[in-house]
Amino acid sequence: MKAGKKKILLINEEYCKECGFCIKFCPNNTLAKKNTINSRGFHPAELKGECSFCGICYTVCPDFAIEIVDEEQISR
Amino acid sequence: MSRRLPESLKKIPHTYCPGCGHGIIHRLVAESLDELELREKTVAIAPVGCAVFGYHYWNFDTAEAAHGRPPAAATGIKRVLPDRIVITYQGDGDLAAIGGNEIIHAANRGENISVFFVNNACYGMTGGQMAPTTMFDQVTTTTPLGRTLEDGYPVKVCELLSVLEGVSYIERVAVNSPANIMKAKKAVKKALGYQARNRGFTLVEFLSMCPTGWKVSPEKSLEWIDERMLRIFPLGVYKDKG
Amino acid sequence: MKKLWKGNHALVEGALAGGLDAYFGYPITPQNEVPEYMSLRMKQEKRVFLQAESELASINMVFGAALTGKRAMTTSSSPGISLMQEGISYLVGCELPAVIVNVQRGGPGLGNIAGAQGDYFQSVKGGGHGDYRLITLTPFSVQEMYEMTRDSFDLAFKYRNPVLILADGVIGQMLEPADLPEKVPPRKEFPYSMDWILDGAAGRDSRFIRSLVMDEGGLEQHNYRLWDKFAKMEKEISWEEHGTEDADVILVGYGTSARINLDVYNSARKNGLKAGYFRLRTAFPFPSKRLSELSSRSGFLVTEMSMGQMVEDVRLAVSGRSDVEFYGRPAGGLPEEEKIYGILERMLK
Ligand SMILES: Cc1ncc(C[n+]2csc(CCOP(=O)(O)OP(=O)(O)O)c2C)c(N)n1
Ligand code: SF4
Repeated sequence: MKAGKKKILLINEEYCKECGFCIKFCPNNTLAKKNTINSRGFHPAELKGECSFCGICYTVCPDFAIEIVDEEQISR
Repeated sequence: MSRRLPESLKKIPHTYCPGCGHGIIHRLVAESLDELELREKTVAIAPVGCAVFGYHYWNFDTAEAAHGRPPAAATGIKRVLPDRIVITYQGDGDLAAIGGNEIIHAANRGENISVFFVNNACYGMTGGQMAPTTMFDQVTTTTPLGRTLEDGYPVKVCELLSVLEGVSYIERVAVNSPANIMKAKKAVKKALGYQARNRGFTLVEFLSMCPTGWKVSPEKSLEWIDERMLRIFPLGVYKDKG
Repeated sequence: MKKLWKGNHALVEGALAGGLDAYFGYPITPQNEVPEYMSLRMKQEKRVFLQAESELASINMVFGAALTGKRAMTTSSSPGISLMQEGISYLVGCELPAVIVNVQRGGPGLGNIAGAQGDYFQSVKGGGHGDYRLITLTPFSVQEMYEMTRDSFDLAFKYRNPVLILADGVIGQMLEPADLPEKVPPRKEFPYSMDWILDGAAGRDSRFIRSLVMDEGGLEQHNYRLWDKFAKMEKEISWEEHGTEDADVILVGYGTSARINLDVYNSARKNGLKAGYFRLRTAFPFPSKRLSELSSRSGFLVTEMSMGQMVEDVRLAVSGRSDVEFYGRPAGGLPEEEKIYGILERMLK
């Protein structure tokens, strides 16, 4: 990994089905259920605080709802 | 490390239940094909079962075979296109009940295919009936008082197939924790790698959550695997010919 | 140059001439010569032969090979063909080309191993589940075992539908002179689009092939499309007729029953009887129109090695305009020439 590249945690709220796996396994305890619901009636996960971009949430997400990207990848 | 969804997945939401293991296993297969640069060489067979719509989510060539027959269909593909990567993705009803004969003979022939076998201890798609892998005392819609000896023993696919000479690699993994999922991914890549090197039949069994069939919450389904399945279905490598 | 060939062997040569890429099959009498001879010939020609663990596996191996656009085939006899019905329905639903041969034997159940014609309904009315049809060819000689098998692949790819060759144990086992080329002729490429095959999504979008159609109204539309295709198959109708210009009664049969009819027809004509001869070369599509035309002046005597199946299609075609009589024997009994002749004489009175 190149040092200095800024990361972003992307949560695709529409894909999320509120299984809670990311919240359960996040080592930084930084994910939570959002108060609002998505179009399918689920409370999607949201980032509350600091993220270390370890990728555990991506690994356990069954719904293709989480990605970690380099900031420059999305600003393009 | 950035974690992007692999090219081998289409960017659409799937319809599996919350907490269902199929989504994780779909992604592991897709990531592995991307990382091994096999996507464009792959032809997959989806089963009859909850994963019947695999072709809506995978971005590689996929067909859906009759219930239990993916190993036969995969054999047909591999025999005419031996340089392609041929995979089947099957549930426990598909593989271990109705398709018992096809999987045994494909394994025994050493058919150079990779089988991704999803053991969720029930029939998800048809509403949570008993599967061959259902455990004693497990309540399903056709074992309302729990499975008993009258229904037979849970079928242990890895143990059963590993004695066949044609098998090159068999491992049982689980997808109920980050560490287990990482191990599962390694197993998928190993199976595909073996196939790419013409090593013969490979199979990975995934112990996979079915919160709906088990009538537990997604979070509880993670524990359910540890507490109920691991005793009957121990994780590990059952065969590795290298 | 004509040489003595067995029907089941000629079928294998026909498949090779049709460009067969892969054969999958399971032994059953009276067609065991097919997988046996095929296993050697496919090796010699460097093509794929695999003895499957069952007919369920055979038809699904055919399904797999067909997905890739290869020419795939299986052969069996009645009980084995029954086992294949689910797979055949999937082939139709997925619009995949394949060739299936039924060298019919006596039934129901395990029946016996004599040639019979008890599987007509299963073949032409859609033997598996769902609304569908198969192009069904009915060979009558060892020569036709070769030719129809050879040509069946073109039909299968033209319509992207399985083709069934409805033979019987008599023709499969029969030895007779046939004119087969010394060497397998060069493979003929078909002019049909192959933009549907699964062979790895290299340099193109990924594809999928399936028969599950769950979207609202989708399956209904899919069925309408399939029926358009089945209607187009009318073009392939084929039959043979003799003496129908002035016949008062026409003998109708297919395969072995037609061979017996031909002898009866020839002796009837020698004796001055106004008999006609008509045999199906395709059982689906069925030559209804032609039979309907003929019914304006002729009656029909249908013979089958069954208790009467194809006769129902003749009756539908004739629709009461003239007499249709039936004589058949089930379970491997051959219709007797004298009996047919007797009924013919009576009908002509
Ligand atoms: C010949 C046939 N019999 C039965 C069915 C009904 N059926 C569809 S899916 C299924 C069970 C699937 O269970 P499993 O393979 O365990 O997969 P899961 O849905 O749990 O992922 C059954 C019995 C069918 N489609 N075809
Ligand atoms: S029923 Fe079970 S296997 Fe099927 S989608 Fe739901 S959780 Fe997954």
